Amino acid sequence: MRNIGLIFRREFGAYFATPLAYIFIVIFLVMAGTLTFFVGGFLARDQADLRPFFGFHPWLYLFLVPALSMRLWAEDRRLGTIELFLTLPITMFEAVVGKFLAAWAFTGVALALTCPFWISVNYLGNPDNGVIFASYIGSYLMAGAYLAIGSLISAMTKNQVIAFVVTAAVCFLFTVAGSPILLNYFENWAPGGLVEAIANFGFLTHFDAIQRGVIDLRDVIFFGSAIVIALIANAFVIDWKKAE
Amino acid sequence: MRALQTLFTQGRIAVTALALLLVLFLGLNVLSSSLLTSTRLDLTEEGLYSLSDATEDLIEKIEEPITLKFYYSQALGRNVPFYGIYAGRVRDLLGEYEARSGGKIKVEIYDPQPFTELEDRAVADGLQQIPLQEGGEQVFFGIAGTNLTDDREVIPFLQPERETFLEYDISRLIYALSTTRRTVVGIVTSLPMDGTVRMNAMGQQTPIPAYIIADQIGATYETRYLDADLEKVPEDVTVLMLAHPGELGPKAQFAIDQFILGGGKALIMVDPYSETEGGQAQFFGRSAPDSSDLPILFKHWGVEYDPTKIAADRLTARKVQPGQGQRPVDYVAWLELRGGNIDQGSPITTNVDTIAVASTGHIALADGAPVKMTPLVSTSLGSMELDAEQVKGMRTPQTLLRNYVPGPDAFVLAARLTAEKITTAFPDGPPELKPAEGEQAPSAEEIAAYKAQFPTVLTESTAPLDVIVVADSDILADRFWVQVQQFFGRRVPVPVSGNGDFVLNALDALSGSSSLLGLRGRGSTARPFEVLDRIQREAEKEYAAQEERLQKTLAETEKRFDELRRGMPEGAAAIVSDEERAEIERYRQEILRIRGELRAVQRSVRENVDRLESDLWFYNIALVPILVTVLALLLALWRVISRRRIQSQAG
Repeated sequence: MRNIGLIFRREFGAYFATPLAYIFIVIFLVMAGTLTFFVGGFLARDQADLRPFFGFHPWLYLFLVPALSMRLWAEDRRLGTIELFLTLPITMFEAVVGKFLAAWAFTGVALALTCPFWISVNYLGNPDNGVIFASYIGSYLMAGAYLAIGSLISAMTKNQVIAFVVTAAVCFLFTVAGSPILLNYFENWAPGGLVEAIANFGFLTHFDAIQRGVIDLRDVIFFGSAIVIALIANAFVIDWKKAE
Repeated sequence: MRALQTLFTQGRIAVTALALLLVLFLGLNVLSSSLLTSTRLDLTEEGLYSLSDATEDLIEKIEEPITLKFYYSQALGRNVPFYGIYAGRVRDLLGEYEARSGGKIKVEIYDPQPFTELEDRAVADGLQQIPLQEGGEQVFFGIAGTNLTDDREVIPFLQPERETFLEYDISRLIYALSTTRRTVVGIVTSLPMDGTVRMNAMGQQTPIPAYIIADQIGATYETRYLDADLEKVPEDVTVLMLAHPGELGPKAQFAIDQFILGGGKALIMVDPYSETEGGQAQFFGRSAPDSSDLPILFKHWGVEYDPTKIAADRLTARKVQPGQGQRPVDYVAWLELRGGNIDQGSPITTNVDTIAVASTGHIALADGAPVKMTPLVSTSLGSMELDAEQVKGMRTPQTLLRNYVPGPDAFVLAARLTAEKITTAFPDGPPELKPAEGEQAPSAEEIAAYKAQFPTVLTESTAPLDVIVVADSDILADRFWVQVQQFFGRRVPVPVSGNGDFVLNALDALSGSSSLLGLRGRGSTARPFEVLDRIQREAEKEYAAQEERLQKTLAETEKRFDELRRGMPEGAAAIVSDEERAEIERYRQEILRIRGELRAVQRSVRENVDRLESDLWFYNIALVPILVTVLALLLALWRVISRRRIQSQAG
């Protein structure tokens, strides 16, 4: 546990030592704001809620999270610093969790900095703050799942660009799993049970459910298990690659 | 070779491990989605997704078992995933009803396939079949409930638009199945509440659908429409609803008097100007008077109500568009009441967040009145009284707004009247039967038969008086409170105002069936940007006079310009004198100038809103990124400086 904390602090601090962190935050905030106002019609809707704002989160994460996760392991592998890691008296899993938590906390910072939106709707009208709070939790859980998948894929390659592209593609599949884009493809030949199962693995499906203002244990288990299992796989992959 | 073999074995183990992890992930979630049904944290303000106390009370009171059959075609969820999510919620909620009922509610779930017996049964149960695509597979998504005596209540199709009312809809269905004897509501109205066919000015038959509110009353109560010249309220009527009853003669008022003295409850809705009747008159000819009153009873109870006056309120006015292409303005005769205008302490109004009224009257209590009045809905302080004539015919919202003079008072629009004991308004017994114009005077037998209906004439109430008086009847009309969507030939009401809840709550409170009271009004909260609205209102108020003056000048100038042009012979461009041409040019310039000024005024109205909007853009899009950038630059600077310092110290 102490080791996780150590790695977390080192990694989290490292984010703010490079311009990357600031660029990431600035792009995330500007894009979230612009999309909400100009595409989502935030003011024209005349409704004191943050639906248009959260509606864009899956799509923002789709591009921004891979940019964050691509260097989690790929860079260490390219530079060979991964060997250094492995000589430290810590387990593989601790290293994986520590790095992941640092990245997740960092997205948490970016998400927290969107609070002017929350303040704005409270100034303009009388929103259901419970719904907004639940949406933030849902968004954060979803970001965690994207990150864990990105971390796993980053561990599989030394090339950051490949890590970025593959992560974006895999995350896209998970995002749209519950939407007609993918379901229509399966529907004609796959049995109904399978189609429903696929629908149940869509990030959008679970995120939409939480956005109503209800945090269902099933949705938490979905994102939670996605994170935990991706991280276990992550540790496996590093262990395996070490042998190469 | 050996190394390669090791790697290969290791690779195989890793791939197997990854595959196992994937299976674990899939299995865990399939299990959790089928085993866990109702472990959730409902963070919504009104607890929209948890069973309310009212439902739990209702479930507790069920005496005989009820079966709920949930028909859901999985094909629907596969094609439109949104329905799949919603179906999951319905299933969970029904499961919760079942779990809490201690075996009294049984839930059965069916997936009717095309051309099966189950499909026929779903149709027989009253469910609505919807084609997935045109001419494609038919799907079901509804609930049918039955009880031991084979009564059946149905939600033919579960529209996602009504998702926030899901619990109310299911509880209403259970309520209807669990109450054996339904309360009878007698309705006296001149409005086409239960739908009708009217002849329009062209002589065509035009069907007018029943009011949504009448459907909703009919879903909970047994309704009986009574004649306006009724002699006696039928024995089995528990609540009498007078909905703009037209001109009630002494005979009908005596019947109502006796009904109330005998312990009957009444919801009385009178109106100085029924927009529905007044508006219809243009197309269909007059079928009932614009205004209604209950003069004898009101006078006796000490209720002051003037059927020629309406209450206007600047602060709660609704916006209407005065003409094509014009900006919406506040119409002080149409009000949307919310917040402090609605009594939050009464169970009738506590869950109702908005009530829309149109050309409403107002009531007050005279000194020494024998009844007690509890206001339910009132206008804001600074309201004004208008003559009903001012709102009849062509609407002139701008004029009303310009001439608006805030008065010192707030007016009561709806109130509950109570009294422990009350005497009759007819101390001399039944009124004389007077013949209508052109009719013969009633014979002695007819008079005797009439009087025989009242073997004992009550002179004093036998139970406490409980009456709700509302000074508006347009509250009932669909167009003021509900949007009706057509869904494969079925009307789906989506309320935009709480009028329906208010009226049903009033009937529930009067009839003593309060089971559904706590459920109404949940989830219908509209949450507009009040600040933007307020700023807009203030700006409009500031510029209204200026705008109107400019518009008037513009209209006059344009008229004179037209007259001038029309006065010239056709194709006479060549023989128009220079002076006339100059005159025309002068008018043209004038028109352009006024239009420019008008645009400037309209821009000023938008200015404050625009300013707030650009502030919001700045705070939400730019501010934090700028701060983050500045912070990053400062940190970088600090690092450079401290590095230099270390270097210089080292050097």
